[in-house]
Order: sequence, then structure tokens, then C-alpha cells
Amino acid sequence: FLFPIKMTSPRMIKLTSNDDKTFEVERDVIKQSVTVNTLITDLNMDDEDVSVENQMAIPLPNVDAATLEMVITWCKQHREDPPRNEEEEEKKEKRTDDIPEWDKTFLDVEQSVLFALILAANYMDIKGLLDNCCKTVANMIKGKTPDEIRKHFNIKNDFTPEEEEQIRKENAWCED
Amino acid sequence: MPSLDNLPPRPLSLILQFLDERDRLNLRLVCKELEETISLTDLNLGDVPTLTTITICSGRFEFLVGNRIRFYIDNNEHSRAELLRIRQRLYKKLVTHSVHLLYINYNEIPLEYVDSLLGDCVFRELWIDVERDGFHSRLLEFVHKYANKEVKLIMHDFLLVADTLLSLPRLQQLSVVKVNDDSFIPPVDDEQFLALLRIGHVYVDIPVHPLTPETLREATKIVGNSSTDQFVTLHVPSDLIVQFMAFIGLRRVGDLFEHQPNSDKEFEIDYCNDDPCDVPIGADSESFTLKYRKASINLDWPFDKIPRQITIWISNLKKI
Repeated sequence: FLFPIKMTSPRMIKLTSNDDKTFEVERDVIKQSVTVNTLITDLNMDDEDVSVENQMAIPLPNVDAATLEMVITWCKQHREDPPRNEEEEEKKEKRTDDIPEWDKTFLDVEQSVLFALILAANYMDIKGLLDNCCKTVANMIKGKTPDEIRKHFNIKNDFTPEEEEQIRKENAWCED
Repeated sequence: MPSLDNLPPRPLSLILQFLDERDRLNLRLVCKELEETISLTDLNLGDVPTLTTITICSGRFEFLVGNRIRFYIDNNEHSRAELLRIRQRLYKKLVTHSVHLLYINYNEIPLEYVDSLLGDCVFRELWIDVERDGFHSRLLEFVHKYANKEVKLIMHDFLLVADTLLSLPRLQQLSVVKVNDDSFIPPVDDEQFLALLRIGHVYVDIPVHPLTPETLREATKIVGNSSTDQFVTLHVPSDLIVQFMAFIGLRRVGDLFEHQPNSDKEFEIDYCNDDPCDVPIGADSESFTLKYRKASINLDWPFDKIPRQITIWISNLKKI
């Protein structure tokens, strides 16, 4: 006798970017986003009876499709990560040389993409992604002079000479 | 297009927490927008025991935040106002382990100023070292405001009057430091002392007079029965220890202390004193520990060999 085996497919969640592209993502993958997780719980979307076709998509008005796709890729890669203990994280030394190799390669992108990821991770409250993005940017700033920072990030110096001198004086005050 | 110079304060704060204070100062010089956003960021010194100190030392006003932001200014109104203005451009919220307010004359520098200088400060420990001339009654409001922190109030060459002491919330430390040997510090009496212990202050070191065997027994019982950590330092005449031992009914017979009839059997002697810090006071003396439930007092025998004035510690801490 052959008995039918009930295949349980992973529960899917729909997310819509601010440019109206909808992504289907496994519930287990997107749990790393505190914002999405809270919405799913608040909207009772964990109800087993609702199929993905009939499910309401969660709008993410601050995230575009390209960035959301990257966020989902990052979440898939880190789905097995142990849950973060924020209290322990706070106590840890603030290092920037411990970014995992996969993340280093993943975050080796244009600056605008990296900053879009920071904003998305901040909005979606994905601590691990946000941390690694911030460490990547911190590594770009570390030890650079103001002029070197401007060059690296293509920022125009809009201070008048007087304003710049005033801030230099204030900075010097801090280190007397 | 998102870039470093148009990030909101929160993500910029997170980036800054991986940088040192020099990088923060350099970023201020990059462009106007970054300078403005930095004034809205957090300065997170982490959970390591980093101090943020406000001190008046030899007439100079010092404000030290972590390892790199250090202001040394003349102690006058103009310089202090300028310091506050610059501080407000450096960060909005400070996250630090400890805040140490040292030798500030609160009659000269309003507490509101100290509070503004700290800003939205998140910290765990608050040390207040204050001299008699620098004390202002508003400091007590400050202590109450931060009653949920580990507040350590250290009075230099003075002690607040008993009523004021008794109005304080539970502190991590309540102590008097005698800097000038000639200064007379009016003590609290034994009843006031016991009332203070009942508040549950963790570390208490204040002058008490008179101290009787009854007070010593009651103090030991309070500490022994306390559900929270307590460590009490007392400077007592050695005679008092002799009277105290007799009062609780413990008498030395041969090599051991024995309970006398009607003695308080909850007081016990532990002869195995393995505390390396507690060295007997003389070659022919021995240390032992008097225990009452969770409390212990380390003492030396024979009593006639110990100095006339000694310091004892009543403690229920597992490790000192």
C-alpha cells in the first residue's frame, strides 16, 4: 500500500518594495527582521489557513526592490545564525575586523548600495546586517583625515574657511 | 541617493560606535550636514568600565569623556558655557559605564549645569565625591533622580545630618573619607546607624557613636538576614569586641570558643579562615570568622594583642 505523504512546504511571506515589486520569502528567513516579524505577529499572518496567494503583502515603503532583494539574500545566507543576545552584543568589544568573509564579499558594492542597505537594515531592524554594514563603513573612515574622508565618499566641503576654522578650534578644545 | 553625509542620526551613531573619538572629530570637519547630524548622534563608550568624569581640580574644570574627549578649562561661567555649547555639537546622548562627579562645588556650579553637560546620559554607576563646602541640598534631588542607578556618595571630611541620611534612597555606597586628620565629623548614633543599614545600602562606612555590643549584634543580624549584598565597615575600640563576644555568649575555653548557657546559638565560629587578605595581626595571634547566617566578621584572637582601635567588616558578600 502506498500512503499519501503530506508534504509540508515552508510557510511563505510576501513583501512589497516601494517600487511595487513583490517578493515571496520563507517565514523562517525573514524572521531576522524585527520590523517584519512584529508586523506578521500583529496582523495574525502566522495563521496556517491562509495560503500565500490570499495573503496580504507587507509593504516596505522605505526599501526599493534592488535593496530588498539583497536584504533577502543576506537573510537566506544567515538563516541558521543563532539568535543574537543584544545584552551580550552590547558588552562585546566594538571591533571591525570580525566581519565574516561571505559578508565582506557581499558588501563589496558601490557606496550608494551599501548606504541603501544600511537604511534598509535600520528600517527593517536586522541587527546582524546593520552591524556588518556599519563596520564596513567604519573601516572606510578609520584613521582618515577630513580631506581623505571627503575624497573617499565624494563629499563636497561646504564650510566657509571661518566655519572650518571654528570647528578646528572646537576640536582642539576637546583634546587639550 | 543615500550617502554618508545624508545618513540619519541612528545609523550614523551605529557607525560611530565602531570608531574612536578622533574619527568623530574628523567627521565633524567633513561638511555641514555631517557636523549637524553628529550633534544628534549617540556617543557610545560601551559597557566597559569607562569613566565620564566631571572634576574641579586645582581650580580647573575638567570634563573627561572616555579616553579621547578631554576638556580642561578655566573654571568660570564663560568657559563653562562654551564647553556646554561644544559638548552639544559633539553628541546628543552619551552611553557610558560610570559617571564620576568629583569635588564639584555645587554652590558655585548649579546642578542644572552638570545635568546639561551630561545631557541624555545612559550610565550604570554614579560616583559623587563631595566636600563639605561643595555640598548643596539640591544634590539630594540629584541622588533621588538617579536612585535606580548604582549611586556612590562619598563625603569628604563631613557627614550629612542623620535625618538627611535617612531620607536617601538605597545607595551602592555611603561613606565618609577623612582627608584632613584634624577634622571632626559628628557621627550618627547607634539607632540611626541601624536604621541606615535597614535601608539596605550596599557599602556603608560612616562614623558611629556610641557603638554598643547590642548595636554590633543587631548590625550583624541585619546584614546576615539581608537578601541583598551588604558590606559594613566599622572603626571600633578593641574593648568593644571583647564585650560583644561576651554579650553574644561566646567564651574562649582552651583553643576554642564555646557557647555559654543562654547564648545566641545562631552566632558560630569558623576557625578555617582561608581568606588570604586576612592575615593575623601578630605572630602569636590567630584569625577566625564569626558567622551569623549570611554575615561574617573576621576577628583576631587573643583580643589583648590587637590594637586599641580596629576596623572590622560585617559582610554577607560571597566574594569581597
